[in-house]
Amino acid sequence: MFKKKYKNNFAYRFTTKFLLLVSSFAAVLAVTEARSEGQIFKHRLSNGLEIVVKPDHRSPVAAVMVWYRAGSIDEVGGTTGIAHLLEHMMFQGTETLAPGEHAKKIAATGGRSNAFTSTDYTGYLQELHSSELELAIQLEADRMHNLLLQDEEFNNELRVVMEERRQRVDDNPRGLLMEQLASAMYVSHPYRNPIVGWMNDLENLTIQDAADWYDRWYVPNNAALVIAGDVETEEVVRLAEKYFGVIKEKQLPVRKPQEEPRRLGNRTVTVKANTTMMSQIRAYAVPKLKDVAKDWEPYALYLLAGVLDGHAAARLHKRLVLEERIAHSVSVSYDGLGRGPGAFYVSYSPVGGGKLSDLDNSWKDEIARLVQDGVSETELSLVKAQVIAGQVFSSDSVLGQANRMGRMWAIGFEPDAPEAINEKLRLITPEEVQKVAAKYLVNAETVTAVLEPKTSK
Amino acid sequence: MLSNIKYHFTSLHWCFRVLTVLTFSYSSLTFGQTREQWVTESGTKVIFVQSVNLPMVDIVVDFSAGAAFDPPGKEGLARLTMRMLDKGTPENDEHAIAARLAATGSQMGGNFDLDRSGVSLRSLSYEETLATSVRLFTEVLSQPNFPQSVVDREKEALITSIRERNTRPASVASRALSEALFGQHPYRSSGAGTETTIQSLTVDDLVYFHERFYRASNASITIVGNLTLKSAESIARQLSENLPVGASERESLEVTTPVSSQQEIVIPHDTEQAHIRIGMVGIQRGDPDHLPLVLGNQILGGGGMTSILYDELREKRGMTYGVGSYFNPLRDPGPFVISFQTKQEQAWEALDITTEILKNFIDNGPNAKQVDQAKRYFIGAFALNVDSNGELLNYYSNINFYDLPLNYIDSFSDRVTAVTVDQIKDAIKRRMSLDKAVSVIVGPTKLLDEPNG
Repeated sequence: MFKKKYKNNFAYRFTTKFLLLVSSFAAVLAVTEARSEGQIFKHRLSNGLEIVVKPDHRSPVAAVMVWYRAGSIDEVGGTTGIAHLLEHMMFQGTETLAPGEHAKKIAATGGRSNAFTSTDYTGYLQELHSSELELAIQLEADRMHNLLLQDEEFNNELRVVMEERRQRVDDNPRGLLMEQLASAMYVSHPYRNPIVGWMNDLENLTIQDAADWYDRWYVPNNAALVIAGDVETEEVVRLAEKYFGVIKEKQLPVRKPQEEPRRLGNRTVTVKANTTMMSQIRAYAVPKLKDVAKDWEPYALYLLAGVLDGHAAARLHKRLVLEERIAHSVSVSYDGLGRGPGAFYVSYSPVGGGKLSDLDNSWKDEIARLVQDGVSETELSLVKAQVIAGQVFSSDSVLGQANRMGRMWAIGFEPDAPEAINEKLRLITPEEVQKVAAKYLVNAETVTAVLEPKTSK
Repeated sequence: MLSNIKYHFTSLHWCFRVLTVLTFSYSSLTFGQTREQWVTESGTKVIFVQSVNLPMVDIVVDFSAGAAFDPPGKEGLARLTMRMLDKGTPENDEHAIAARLAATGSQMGGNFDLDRSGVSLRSLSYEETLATSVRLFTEVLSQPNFPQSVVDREKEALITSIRERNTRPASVASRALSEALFGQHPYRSSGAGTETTIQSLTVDDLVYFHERFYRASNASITIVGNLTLKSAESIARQLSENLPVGASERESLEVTTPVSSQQEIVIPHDTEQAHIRIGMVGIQRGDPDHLPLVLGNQILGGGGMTSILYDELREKRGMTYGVGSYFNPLRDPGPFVISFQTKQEQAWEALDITTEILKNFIDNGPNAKQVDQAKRYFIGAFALNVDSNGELLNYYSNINFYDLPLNYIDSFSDRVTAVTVDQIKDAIKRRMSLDKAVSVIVGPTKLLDEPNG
């Protein structure tokens, strides 16, 4: 994503997939076979900061990330968007750095910096020449405890974030649809709120809200330093001790579970927007991955999504788009890696003049067929082939490797969990895929969001 | 797969939600590795770069067959041809092609722009997997048979996309800018076509376009990955000798140098934000002013969180989430574009500020400190641009397609170092001017600073 010339990266694609850091759960099986340097090294400083390092000496570059286990899921009443706003403020100066200077110092070496906020975590990244490792670590440590929140910068970033909201959501039919879907899916769980925040909440955020958020979550015992690239682990630990070691550990607030009550029936929400195409996304409540070694249903659900829509020959695309020609597009995905509840999504839009109800019928029929007749070994092997190749392909970038490890840590798994996950995926049987389809996609309480063209004013 | 909207990124993922602080970033060039360059007997140029650390191979075949080669009235033909490649051959229908590809775990993708139709394959490098994937890749490139009923379906899909795109302010703005900048030059069209032109396309058109433009001598092949020179040669030969034979020259555009002139285009649209573009005709590949101008652009609007435009519009005024500028050097001079969006109420104010910044930049150019920073960035960013096979493929395929010298990459640092402040100022003065700048504002219906606006 970074290598494209000025390309706006706003596309909220189908469901909640995100283009920027498209991580599959790839570990590096084929790679570790060939190279011992692919081992993941872990260490914890006495203040609780987790350190994760994966040496990769192909090129003299390093991806240096700091992850905080704090996302929109941790926001409380009236302050939606504060996790994301604080992420913006992290570039706006510290006790020793002027606003914007962090990014300028990285750019002066030819490096790149960026950051991202999700429902579950907030992450910061530097991609730079490996000889500049110390600079990146120093800057990240500095803003972990010396951030300077100033009114002028705060008010300015608030305006920027409102523009971001207009761009990503208010002017983006797909963005609106996803936002409304999430709100309909969850009555109680904070996944109901958009990461970027509701506009009215943004209008009423204060600098004190930002300060509170920073004090609460930006502490070493809620963070991980994750590095992949041309580095030595001893050097990383030495530099981490030097710069992060001085930061004090702090008691973290209690995180309330806010478990979602059981759905009592189907829910549907309609979104009217400036679009020519009807489309619809439907969410099923399914388990998420909790125990890498013992769970099997999440793996079966993941492969089920693959059987339905994991490649160009997969069932749903083949039937609805290629053969029956009633869908312009279809997408099936499983969201099972997160701090909050899991979900299984199916999304489609009819061809011009077509009806959503026809697509609904074909979808139900397809699920019924799968539950009745099962999945063949060959069919499942096609999906597994994508998984196996995907492992290798996703090791191509050091940033991708660091991102994968950091994300695993942030949602509560070991950074090397992807390897074990891949092993488990390979063992899933056609019967298990059939079982989860029957259990979760039939007679389920679903939540559906429908996108409709706005009638002209 | 080749219907690049969806399958370009085919891979399974657990989905998740993220927002970023920044929306774009700059890219530059790269340095050397073990590599070879040759021309096949059938006349296809090849570059091979060996990279043995991961068990994978990337191949791209670029044809001089981009949007600019659409026959007048048949806009959309080049794109539809590319989209149809994997939709059927004499031996395999679209389902068989998809299933065979899926069995290998390999991915095919398309990269379509004004100059080229680029078709790519990413495969594991294990012998049998690679051989199977390359056979299939060769088949779709050389023998697509464009079944009528599939063509009809894909035309419908394109028309649906066109209708939807017309509702998107960003698309409306880009199209208006291209048409104003390029006049009668083929770069006026993105190659998406219109409902009418797509409707008019026939199987015969597709057969013609494939025969004429997917020729061996009109192609360049770039290979990066874990394979020997011998197998790279064998793959290149196989791909090349199966392509249609024809004239031995490469396709080129008729020379019509586009000249834009100053104008402001206002297009009302039902949105929260106004989408604003300022553009002018820029530079072509191999242009002697290329490096001074892209260094200049780095300072103006190309540098992520460090550019003048970013600083003025976002950091100082909070007017936008993403603002940036770029040169798109093509076979003929391509566009220079500044692009951002801001809430409708402040659209004209933001346009005025931006125009003023641009004017000031053209008149005075950057200062020595800014140039020094931009040069250090370009040189320092060097290593980041070769840190993956995907990026190597991208850079070497550009060198290959645009006939740039192979050492273009190796000499990059030296060439950047040699650029002076005066060269940049001079290039900006000669090549950029408000007199040929076109402004496009999509959104507001009237000047909002009018009373009761």
